[in-house]
Amino acid sequence: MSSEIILWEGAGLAKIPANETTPEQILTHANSRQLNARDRSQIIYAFNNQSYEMVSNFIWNKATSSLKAQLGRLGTAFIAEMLDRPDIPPDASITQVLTDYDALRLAKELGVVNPTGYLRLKHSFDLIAHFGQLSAEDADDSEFSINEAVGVIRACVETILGQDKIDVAVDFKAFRDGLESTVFDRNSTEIKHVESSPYFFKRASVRILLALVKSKSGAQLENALGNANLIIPLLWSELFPPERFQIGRAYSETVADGKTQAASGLRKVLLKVRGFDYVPEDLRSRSFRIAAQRVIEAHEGVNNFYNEPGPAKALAEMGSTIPRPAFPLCMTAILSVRLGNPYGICYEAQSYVNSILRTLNPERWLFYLDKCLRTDERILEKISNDKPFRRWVGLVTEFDLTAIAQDLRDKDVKLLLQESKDADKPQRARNILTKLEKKMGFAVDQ
Amino acid sequence: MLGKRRPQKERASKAVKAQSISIHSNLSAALPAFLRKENLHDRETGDAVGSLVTLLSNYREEGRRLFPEVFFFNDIANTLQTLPNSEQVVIGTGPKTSATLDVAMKRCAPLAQWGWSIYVMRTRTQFEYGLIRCGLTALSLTAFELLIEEGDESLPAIGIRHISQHEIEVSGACKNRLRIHFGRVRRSDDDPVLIGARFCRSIVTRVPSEVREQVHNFYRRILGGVLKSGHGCLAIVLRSRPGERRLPSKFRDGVVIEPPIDISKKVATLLKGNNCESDVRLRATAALIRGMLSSDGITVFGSDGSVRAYNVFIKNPIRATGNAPGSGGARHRAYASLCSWVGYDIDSAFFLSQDGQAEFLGS
Repeated sequence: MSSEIILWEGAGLAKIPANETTPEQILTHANSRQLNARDRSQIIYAFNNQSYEMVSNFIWNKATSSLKAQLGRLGTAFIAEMLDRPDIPPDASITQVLTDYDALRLAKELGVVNPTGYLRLKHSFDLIAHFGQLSAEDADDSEFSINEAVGVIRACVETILGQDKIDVAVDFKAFRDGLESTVFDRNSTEIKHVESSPYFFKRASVRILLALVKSKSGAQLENALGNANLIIPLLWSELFPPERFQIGRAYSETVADGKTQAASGLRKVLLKVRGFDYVPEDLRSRSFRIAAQRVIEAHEGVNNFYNEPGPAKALAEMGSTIPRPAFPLCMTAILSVRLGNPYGICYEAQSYVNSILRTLNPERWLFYLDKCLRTDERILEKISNDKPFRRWVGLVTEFDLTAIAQDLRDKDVKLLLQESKDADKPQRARNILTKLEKKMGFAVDQ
Repeated sequence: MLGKRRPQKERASKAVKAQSISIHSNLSAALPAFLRKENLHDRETGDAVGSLVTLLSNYREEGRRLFPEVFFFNDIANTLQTLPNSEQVVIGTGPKTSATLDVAMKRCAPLAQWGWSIYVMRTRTQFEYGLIRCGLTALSLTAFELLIEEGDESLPAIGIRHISQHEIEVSGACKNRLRIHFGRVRRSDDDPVLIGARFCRSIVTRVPSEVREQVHNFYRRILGGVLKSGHGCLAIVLRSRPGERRLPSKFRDGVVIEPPIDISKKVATLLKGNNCESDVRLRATAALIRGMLSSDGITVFGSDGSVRAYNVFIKNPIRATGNAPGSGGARHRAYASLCSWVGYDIDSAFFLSQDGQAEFLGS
C-alpha cells in the first residue's frame, strides 16, 4: 500500500490573496470573534509606528492562546497522551502547561492546521523565539523587519485567527469517536487504513487509544480496550521503543492509580505482544522524564539561551545511568541543547549535556540511533537546518558515530550518518532526511 | 463355612477402630483437578499445596494468628515484570516437599505483612520461596488483583489466602476457585468476600465516577482485613436526601464524625498529586476505618463514600422489627432492625458475625 494515505486532512487556510501585504488588508480576513476591532486597530497602529516585534509578539500570543484553548477542549488527559507528557496533571490548564512548540506539533498531528499552515507558523515561532532571546546589544543590531512582521501576521491570521472556529480534522474526530464507540473488526476499513499508513498515523492511533483507556470509563473504556487489543498487537512489530515504552508506562500508571479494568485490558495487550520489557521497573524513569521535559520546555520557550542551563544541570546531576524507559526523551533533550536552533546554542548548558553524552557507551548510542532517532521529529527537524547540521557533524565526529553506524540496522539512519562527515556539504544528508521524514509521515511539505 | 469366618482377633480390632476423617484428604482429592485446570499440576505441588492450606488454617507464630497470602507460579522473572514497581526478596530453596513449605512459612509468614506476600516458585526439582510486593500507593492494584483476579492463563499462578478466620480460598489465574472451610460449611452463595463487595458498591453509589473504582477498591481491601480479623461488624449506608447533611436522629447514639471523613476527596488528592503525604494520609484513614468497623455498634457510611459515624447503637432493635426475642445475638438482632429500614432511612445494611458469616441487604 502507498504511504501517501492520509487518515485525516488538516483544515484549510483562510484565503488571503497573495497581493495583500499590509496589516490593514490581511486583518480584514481575521475573524471578529478571534480578533476584535480594538485589537485590529492597535495592531495597525503599532505596525505603522514601526513596532514590528511588539506587533508580532501580540498577534502570536493571540493566535497561540486561541489554538491552545481549542486544543484544551479535547481534554487535558488526551493532550498529555498525544504529546507523551505524563508530567501534565489531569486538572492542569492547557494554556499554561503547553509550550508553543507543543501546541504547533499537536495542531499538525490532529489536523488542526494543514502542513503549509504548520510550516508558516513554525517559521513565525522560530523568528519570535530568536528575537525574544537576543541580548539588548544584539537586539539593537538586528531588528525585526517589516517583512518578517507581515509574515507573522499573515501566518497567524490565515491558519488560526482567520478561522471561524478552529477544530480537529473531521476524519480525525470520526476515527477517535469510533475508537470509543465501537469495537472495530480486523477487516474494517479504519483498521486497514491504520495498518497501511505512515508511522506518524500509527503512532497517533496508539496515543489516542492510550488516552481513551486512561480517561474513559464504562462502555467507552470497554470499546477502547477492545480496539487496543486489536490495533496494538497489529502494529507492535512496527512500533519503535518510544511508543512501546509509552504503552508500558500507561499500564504501570493504570496499575498505580488502581484502575482495575484499564490495567487488566492493557495487561492483556502486553501479554499478547510479550511487551512487559517496556514496563518501567520503578519511579526513577519518571523522574528522568520529568527532568528531560524541563530541558525541552526551556529549550523551546522564549529566552531559551538563558533558561537552559538550570534544567540541563539538574538532568546531568541525576546520575549517569539513564533508565531505559526514559532514555529516548532524555536523548531528545540532550541533543536539543547540543544541536541548538538555527540561531545558536546555549554555551552555558553545553558542559552539562556533554557530560551526559560522554557517559553513553556504544550500545546506548546504537539503541538511540537504531531505535529512536527515526521517530525523533524534534532532532530530525533540527538536523535539517544549516547551523544545527554543522553541530550534528561535530557530534558525529566527536563520538565517532560513523563507527557505530556500521552496526546499524536502520539503513536510512546509517546513510544519514555516513553523509554527516562534512558540515559544508549538507545536501546529501538533507535529501536522506527528506526521504526519511516523508516515509515516517513527518514531512510538512507534502 | 469355616473358611469364610474372619479370625476372632481381627474382628475385635475392627470393632474399636475409630473412623478417621481429614479435611486434608478432601482437599487432596480436589486439588489435582484444580491445579490441572490452572496448568500448575504435578504430584509434589498438589501434596505441598494441600499440606500448606492445612498449615495455614490456624497458623500462629509466638501465639499470634497470621494470615499470609501465598502465591505459586513457575517463573518469577516474567511474573515480576507484569507487576509494576515490584520487589522481591529471595529467602530460600528446598526440595519439592511439604517440609520445605513448612520451613518457608516459618521464615516468611511473620514478614508477609504491609503489602508483602509469600511466593513459591516451582522448578523441576525444587521450590524457591521468598517475598514479593508491588505498587506505589494505597490505591495501586495488588499482586493478588493482578496475578489472580485479573490473571491470564498465559501466566499460570495460584493464590492462597484467608477470606475469613475459618476459611481459605485457593484461586488461580485461569479463574478457578476452591473455598476450604475449617468452620461450619456454607453455601457457595454465602461467600463473605462477594457479600462484602456488594456492600462496598453500595458505599460508592454517589462517588464521582472518576474515583469510584478506586474508592470501591479502597473499601474492599478494608473489608477484606475486617473479614480476617475475627471480629464481627455491622455497617450501613445512609440513604441520601438532597440538602440533608445532618445524621438522622436514630443514628446519633454513638460517635458522630463531624465533618464526615471524605474518602473520595482523599483518593482524588492522592491521584492528583501522587505524593507520599496523600498516600500516608489515605493509609492512616484506612486504619481508622478498619478500627471503626471492628468496634462494637454500627459504622455509618454515606453513599458518597464518606464515614459519618461509628459505635452507633439503635434503640429497641427487637421491638422495632417485631422479631421474636432471642433469635440470634445482639448484633444480628440489630441487623434485622436495620434491614427493616433499608429503602427508607438507609440504602443498605451489612452484617458480619465473629465466625465470618456475612449478610447484606440493599435497596
